[in-house]
Amino acid sequence: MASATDSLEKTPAAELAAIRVVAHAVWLVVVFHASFSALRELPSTLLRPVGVMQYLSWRFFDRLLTTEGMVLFKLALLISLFMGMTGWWTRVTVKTSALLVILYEGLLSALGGYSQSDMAALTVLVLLAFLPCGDRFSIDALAGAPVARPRSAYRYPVALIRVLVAWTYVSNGLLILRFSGWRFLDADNVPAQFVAASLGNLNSTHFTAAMWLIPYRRYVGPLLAIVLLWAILFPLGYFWKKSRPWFLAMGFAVHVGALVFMNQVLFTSAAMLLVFFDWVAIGARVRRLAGISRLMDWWENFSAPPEFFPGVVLAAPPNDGGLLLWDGDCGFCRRMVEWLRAFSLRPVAMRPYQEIPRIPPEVLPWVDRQMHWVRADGSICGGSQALIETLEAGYHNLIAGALESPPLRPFTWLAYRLVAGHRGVAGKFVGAACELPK
Amino acid sequence: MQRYSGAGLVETDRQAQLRNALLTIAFGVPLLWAFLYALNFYPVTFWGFAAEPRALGSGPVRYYVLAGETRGRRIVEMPSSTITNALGNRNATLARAIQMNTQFLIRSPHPRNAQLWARWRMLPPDASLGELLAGWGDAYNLRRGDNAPDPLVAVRLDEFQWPYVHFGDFEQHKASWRVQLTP
Repeated sequence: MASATDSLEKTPAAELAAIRVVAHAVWLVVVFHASFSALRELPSTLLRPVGVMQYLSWRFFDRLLTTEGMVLFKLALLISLFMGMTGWWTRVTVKTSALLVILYEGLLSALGGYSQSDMAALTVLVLLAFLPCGDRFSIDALAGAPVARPRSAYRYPVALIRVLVAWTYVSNGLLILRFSGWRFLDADNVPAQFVAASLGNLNSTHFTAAMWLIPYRRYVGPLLAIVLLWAILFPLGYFWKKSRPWFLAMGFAVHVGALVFMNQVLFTSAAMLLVFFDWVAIGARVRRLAGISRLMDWWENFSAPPEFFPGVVLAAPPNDGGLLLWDGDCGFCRRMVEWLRAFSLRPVAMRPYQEIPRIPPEVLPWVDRQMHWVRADGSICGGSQALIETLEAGYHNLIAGALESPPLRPFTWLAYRLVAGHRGVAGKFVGAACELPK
Repeated sequence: MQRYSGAGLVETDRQAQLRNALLTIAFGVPLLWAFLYALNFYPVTFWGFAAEPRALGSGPVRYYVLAGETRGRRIVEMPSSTITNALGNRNATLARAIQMNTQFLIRSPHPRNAQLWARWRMLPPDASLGELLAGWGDAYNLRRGDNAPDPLVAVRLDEFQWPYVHFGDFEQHKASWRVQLTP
């Protein structure tokens, strides 16, 4: 199995995309689970806005803490986080997600003060808003034009996110030494805080493990020393390959300890340990599972036809307008071309590809799987992009613009691929069978 | 409309490095500032979980127990995690902050709070705790639904103290607040 660093070298764009999925999924779970209707019952007069939240007007908070305000807020968060997670209109949704989560956490902080445990996940989300995290493993990437970025556009940001999450542990450890020194390890310090966090019923959970720890509290010091060392040495532990699994496992154990002894659900903080996982290697392993392997083979075949051919030009380009190339052997395609011709508001040149000499070899393997559009300069695009540009050439700019708009573009691609991949079935609906060999 | 006729979107190494440098500065400098001065300015923060020493003898610990009275005169415990679950552990700090009237003492309080303070001239202790308890009670009833049997008619918050001198005597009762819910 490849190491984290190996896969980062090979597929940095996918690593960054995996972190986008993780960060958005974590917040999606948090928001989905949160009761916004209960928050609405708390009047805005109880708020004490902190940080940047102080610059929002009270009228905004008054409107937010209403039935409509909370429903809309939760809906906006769920939609934005879901779209960000799946990489749908990523350029916009990662930014709206960051903004909305800042607002959400800001609202909670205005009620009950800071929750430092959530801030690592929030900072990662904000960082992702400025990174090219939708170039791979995203809905956008299915229909997107080719993106050429240097490796540094992905490798460094992945490292930066990991350093940021590691910083939360290192800085926490250093602040413990700064403020508490060796007193942190005293038998009556942290165990007493454990007990204090187990009293009352306004905590996240109601474990009483701290109570039965009291007789054994003198053994807690050495354990805390290990935890402190773990926090301070976290970056070293992670970047040394052999110790990496131990440091990550210890991280999850520390968060479970905080839950059981401190009654603190540090969910987002624990989930941020997932950014250290080698998701590309995990994906490759999952890919080899029998059922998944068949599914992925089908998907790769389904999505194989490229829609963009950078640098490929038809030897004899059309002089004006463009030219639609279609499969002259396919009855369904013939029926669709007739329909497109009738639908166009001005004549658009359309010819079966069989009549065109010297089709570039990069395009030739795909001519019986999708139509192609040759632009006036001879450059070629295929599939749903060809459909969009044909509609545009026929003066249907509004429809073409809607189909090409970022939120709809992946679905235009999907619809085209479904129809193009099932021309036999689609032909039955329009009364024209596809005559391609099965 | 943008047409990807050539190699699509192309970013140079220099552009990527510039973005990387800007992001490192934009995120690194505030986080370093927060760490060095141990200050928060949301959303910039430092991480200081359990960093402050809090050994026995350093002052009492106060905590709360939230309960409700139903129409059938039953007393039900109301863990806040089952009501305002989004707040998590912040439910306890919310109750303490409202008990201490901190929502009145911020630089720019809510206009209604400012009016109340001007009318009262002197701020009564725990001035808004009733609103908080009513909010929790209404949220609890809302979660159970309109037709749920035996709804809450009142909410009660008890404050207890652990002197924090030794591991015992955890439940010294300090104060109680009770709010009748509007039907």
